Amino acid sequence: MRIYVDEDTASGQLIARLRSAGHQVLEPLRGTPDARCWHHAQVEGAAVLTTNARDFVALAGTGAHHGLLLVYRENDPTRDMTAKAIAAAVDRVAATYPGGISEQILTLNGFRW
Amino acid sequence: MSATPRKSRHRLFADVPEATDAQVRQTARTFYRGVVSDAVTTALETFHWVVDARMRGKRVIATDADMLPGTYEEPVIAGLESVGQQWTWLVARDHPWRRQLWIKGRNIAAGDLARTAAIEGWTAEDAAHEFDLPVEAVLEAQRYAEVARDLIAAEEAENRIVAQRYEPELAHLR
Repeated sequence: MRIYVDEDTASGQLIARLRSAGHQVLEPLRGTPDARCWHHAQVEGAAVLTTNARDFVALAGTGAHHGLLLVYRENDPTRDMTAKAIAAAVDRVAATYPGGISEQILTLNGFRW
Repeated sequence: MSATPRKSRHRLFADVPEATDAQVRQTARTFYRGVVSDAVTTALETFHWVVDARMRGKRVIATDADMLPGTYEEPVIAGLESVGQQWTWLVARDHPWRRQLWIKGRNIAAGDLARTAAIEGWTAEDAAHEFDLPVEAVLEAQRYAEVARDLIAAEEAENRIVAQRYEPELAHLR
């Protein structure tokens, strides 16, 4: 998958794990408002991966897009997703949707099995 | 030549619930650079300060600075001097619904950074490396996350409610 990782989610470890799994990862635009990051991802043909669900779901409603991957913080610290779990969930999304995830919004917490 | 006197240190063991263990370690990481003994000692000193005040017939309460009476006492607690004062690395932002502070110059909410570090089990140095930030910025975000815990939890809940609408039905995917 081609993925834009939002700055609040873009740890070095997550980016490295995604890349080593064969995904194309775009570096986040630092200190840039969400709307511009979203636009950048669409121009680059990338799905956006973020923990900022509320703002990016609103942006996804503004037009056609290349997909949105959400991660939320569980109300249970023992279930929160680490970089390793997020990367594994992205792999499962890629395997489940071989044709890509354009126009889809998917929450990665649901891809843990 | 006289020998340097050995520091008198004692090792203390206590059986505590897992949550208490996590809380002690988190407090140590956030305020005392991971030194558990400092966190425990300061907590105990603060407790004794409260006990001493009660023994002298006083009440210990929390109040706004402008509501303080003419004569008052407050404890000096190591590690907390800067909490609630001006932040160096954190800034407020004009955001439609989020009220927590952000890392200066970055699109990273302080609570998100502290939470990610906690989830991954990273030290402040690890988190600084992972997000290419100064260690001081991470430490400040962690301190802020402690004092603004309820606000951050409320904002996480808002994102969680939205994200949960997009969790797939797993049965047909597995």
